[in-house]
Amino acid sequence: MLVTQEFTIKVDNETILSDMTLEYGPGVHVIMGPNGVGKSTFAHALMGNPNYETEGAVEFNGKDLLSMETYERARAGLFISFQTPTPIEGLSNFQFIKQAMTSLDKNQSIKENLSSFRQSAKDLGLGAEWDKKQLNVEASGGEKKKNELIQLDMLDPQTAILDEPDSGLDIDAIKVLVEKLRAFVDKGDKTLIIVSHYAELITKLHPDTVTILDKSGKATQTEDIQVAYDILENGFNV
Amino acid sequence: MAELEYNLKELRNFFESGIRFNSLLNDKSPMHDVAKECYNALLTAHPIDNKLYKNMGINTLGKHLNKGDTDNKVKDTSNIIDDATDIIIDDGLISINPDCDNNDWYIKNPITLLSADKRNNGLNLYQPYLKPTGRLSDIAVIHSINPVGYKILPDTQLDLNIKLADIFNDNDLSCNVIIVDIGAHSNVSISEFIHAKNGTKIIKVLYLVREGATLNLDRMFDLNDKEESLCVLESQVIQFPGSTFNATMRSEGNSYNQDLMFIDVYKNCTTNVRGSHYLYENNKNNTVVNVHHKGPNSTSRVDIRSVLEDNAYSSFLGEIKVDKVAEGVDADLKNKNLLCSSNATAFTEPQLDINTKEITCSHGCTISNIDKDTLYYLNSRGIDNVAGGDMIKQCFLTQ
Repeated sequence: MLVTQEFTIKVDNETILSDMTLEYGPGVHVIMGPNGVGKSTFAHALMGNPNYETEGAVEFNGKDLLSMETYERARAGLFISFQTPTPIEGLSNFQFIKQAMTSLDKNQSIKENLSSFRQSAKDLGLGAEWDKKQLNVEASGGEKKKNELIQLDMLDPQTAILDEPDSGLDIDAIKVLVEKLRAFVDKGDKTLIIVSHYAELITKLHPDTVTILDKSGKATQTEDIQVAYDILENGFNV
Repeated sequence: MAELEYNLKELRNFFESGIRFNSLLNDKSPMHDVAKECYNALLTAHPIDNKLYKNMGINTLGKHLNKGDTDNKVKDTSNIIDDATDIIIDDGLISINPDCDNNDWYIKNPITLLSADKRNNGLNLYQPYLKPTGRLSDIAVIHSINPVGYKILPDTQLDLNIKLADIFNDNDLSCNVIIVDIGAHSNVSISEFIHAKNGTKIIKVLYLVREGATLNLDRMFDLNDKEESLCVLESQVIQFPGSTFNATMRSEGNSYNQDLMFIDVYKNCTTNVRGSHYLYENNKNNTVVNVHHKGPNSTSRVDIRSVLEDNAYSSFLGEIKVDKVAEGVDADLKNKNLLCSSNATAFTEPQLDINTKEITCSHGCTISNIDKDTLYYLNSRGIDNVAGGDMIKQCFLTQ
């Protein structure tokens, strides 16, 4: 359970989002809002990106999230997929996931890890040598997004915040994305928070709540999913 | 003789004193003539004042007091002998390692050890390559007891583990002159380990990579006993037409280090020089790579990287020189530094000296800090700052 109370996010003393009181329990939650309103900022502020100053309170499974470092939030079970994943030259995809698994105390043998990694990569249509490729280096936008999905698969967090996971993916990959996200939620007790305006994704995931971020920096959360469908059909200005 | 303390400049007064029976005193040394030339040049201008060293923290080396004690030289081979090394080299000495795992390799392979003790050793034939340079390596030529070396015969495939050792456990200056002659069309991989000592080493190595030969050189500086170690290693590489020279240099912290490489490249050659240095505390590392293209249609790539922590210091001086006749050359020179401390210093100076047209030549040098976005990405997967920082440094050095 992720609960924010009067959560405010600033960058260089300028308020981007303010006084957000929101609640995300197990299930699927969609975040929507016009361009530039701060959807990614919201996601990364929850993850603890040091570029953002925060006020208010955020409780994550009973713990004070804002007092934690980013790596501690990850270890507590929070995951974020990046809209533009960071490339790291010299680090292979598998070395990276291996180190992350160790950090998160997900103790499997290297052989098991590698086997799971390769299966996940295969599901997403990535090449047989994907484990050896450098992390997000010389990869297309879609491949980087798929890499984030592999990490979600392998790290199996309690709560995942996915920032536009559909962008850059082709139709076949989106089908796999929907299957993987559905499978993630169906494990039970998992919370999936998605920033997306992709109708098919939202429709197929049957969200439990929709959060709308507006240009005044406020957030409104509702269980009336029709709001999302109305926005998808008519846009934010109606 | 009682213990004698001297710095490098003062050594000029002792070359002829007999504190060491060096190539200058020894008129039978295969390097005697060239040692005299180096000595005469040194009397005019001391190498330590060479402007090449202006950004190399040369005072650390210049002020260091070497301690000579000819009465109490004690051999200490405890750190030298291991079962992986094939050949051990020290001043005037070269030998097959008696403890190496498979020491009959020497009999099976076409390799000749070059030692002044042997008659008709041919070492004097290399004198033209060792003319005075005005650099510290001239001191090695003057003050080493004798040059040594090894010659690989043509058309040979061979992997060698070489240790540049220091057999005497003392604080005196150690000088080495080493000849490495790779025969035509051979393919040789050399792992070269530079043993650290509590004091100064000056080593000059001449590599001749003959026509069509390939030399893969993997040079590793000692990771132990380096706190008081000062090392000047100058490599002179002559690439004959059609040859390939691949060099990798790795070090982790030396009190003071100079790794200078001067490469003459003739036609249709390939040259790759890669360096990765991890420096911390008060380490000083200085790298010079000078690639001189003297013939056409050759390719060279230089990529030297350093990670600096604490008060570490790094300097890089790189030059690509292309002669008028060297058309069709493709050269690239890179130096990258990752500064992990506000007290660390990196100095980088790339130079291109192009004297012809129809070539491709580029250079790029960077000094950067640990990227916060990269660290955040690693943090977001549960990797803490220490492990994440280590990963970033490791990737920087190995990418």
